[in-house]
Amino acid sequence: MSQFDLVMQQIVNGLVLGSVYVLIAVGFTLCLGVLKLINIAQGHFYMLGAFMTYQALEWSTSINYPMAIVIAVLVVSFAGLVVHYVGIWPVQHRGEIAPILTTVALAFMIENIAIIMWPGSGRNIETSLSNKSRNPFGQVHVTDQRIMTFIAAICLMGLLYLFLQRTKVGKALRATTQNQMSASLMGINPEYMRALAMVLSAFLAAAGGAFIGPLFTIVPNMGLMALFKAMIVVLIGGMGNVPGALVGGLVLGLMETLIGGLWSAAWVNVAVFGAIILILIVRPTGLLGSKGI
Amino acid sequence: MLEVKNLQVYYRLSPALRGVSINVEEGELVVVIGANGAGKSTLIRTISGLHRPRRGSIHFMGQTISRKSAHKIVSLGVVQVPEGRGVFPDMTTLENLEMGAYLCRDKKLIRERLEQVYSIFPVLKDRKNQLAGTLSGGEQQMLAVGRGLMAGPKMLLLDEPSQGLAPLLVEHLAETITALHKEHAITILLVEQNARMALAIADRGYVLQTGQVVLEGKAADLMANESVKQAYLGV
Repeated sequence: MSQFDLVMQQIVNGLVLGSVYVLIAVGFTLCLGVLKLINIAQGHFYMLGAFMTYQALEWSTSINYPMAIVIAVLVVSFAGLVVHYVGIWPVQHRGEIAPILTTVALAFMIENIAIIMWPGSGRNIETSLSNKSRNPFGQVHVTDQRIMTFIAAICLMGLLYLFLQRTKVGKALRATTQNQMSASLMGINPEYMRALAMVLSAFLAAAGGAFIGPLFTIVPNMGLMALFKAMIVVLIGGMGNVPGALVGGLVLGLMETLIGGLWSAAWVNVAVFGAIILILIVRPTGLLGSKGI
Repeated sequence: MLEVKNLQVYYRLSPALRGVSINVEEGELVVVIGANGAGKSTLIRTISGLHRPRRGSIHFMGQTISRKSAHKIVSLGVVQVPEGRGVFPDMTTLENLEMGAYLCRDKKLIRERLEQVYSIFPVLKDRKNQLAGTLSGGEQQMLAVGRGLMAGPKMLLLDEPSQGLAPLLVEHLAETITALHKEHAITILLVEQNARMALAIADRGYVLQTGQVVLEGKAADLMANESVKQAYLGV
């Protein structure tokens, strides 16, 4: 494979990976913006999304991949709602630390439940898309599954954009992020907005897990790493900044595949987490600036 | 229309209001004046449901609203223009105004109210696609008031609207509030540090000092009152 093709291959893979990072990170940034919460369980929603997709496909042969995605996303979104009302809502006025600790506890609980439900060394999601490969240009090859992951993620981002920019509830969510007191003076119920933000975060992360699950062996402890990746994206894109998360996610995905594919896979995490430390020193609220969504 | 009886409000352990009672009749323009820290903003915030009173009651058009949450109180027609404008900085002027009409389901009505706000504040129409955070102080104040009007309020609460405004803008603000009161017949409770401006346009007034009402009466009488003149009118 020529050098050019190698780079292109990494770029293609990076965009696929990045698009899922975007989904997880947008959810994380919504929690930051609306709930003022660092949601440690965000990566675990992603992990659950992948495993629920696997499980739905296992339940019955009449369930196909798209249906499994829908089931997984709905289940995890509902879980997000439960998490909010059982875990977050009771402690939300008890200071800033308590809700974060709740999400830490939830993360561990969810991970261990996943280990119990799916014991062993991980699972592989088989879909009809995994095996067909294409050569869009040169020697670069990409499976249909990867194409689907990317397109699905981008479409979901598009829908989210329309929701936030064009619908009344979406605008209310943005307003709540920017000035919660003023928002309540418009008649916007801050409780509903907080629950909505949590459900939306779970929804997006689960969708990310469902879309990218078939690309590798999924394991219950992949939630934590996904969370860290989301945090990096938010640091690049700015806290509470949804368009920034889009840029940040794609940038991170590209960074990982380009460094990993062209230099060394072992150094990827060192480079990436080293970059976090640098960004925190230079601009603690995020490179692209923290602003309202 | 609005009856506040013996309101006691605390922030943690410190008393901010020590038994305040005020009334606003329909169609009136009532002001509450007082120095910094007198409790004026606390009063407005408590009426709006942003803060819970420890004792006392608030009634609006016969309904008790003392312990209702802020977003429910808005739905009853009590609309506050918050201190410091409180615009949504990363949303456009138009989006801010749309948020004012959040509880209204009637699209035609919303458009009518929007046109009305544009006629009162033409600059908001000029800058409708500009991000609210980039507007000047005076423009943000107009936006905040316009946004309040978009809710079709039965009573408008204004929390120190002249704060941070240049004198010329304060005059314009006073004219606007008077017009809202006289031409558009909106009942207004105005809380102000700028006593001169406030008493000049009001029907009646209350003077608040360290959480208590120390004086009340017709605006003209208050303006003539010697202690008011010395303490608040700089005479």
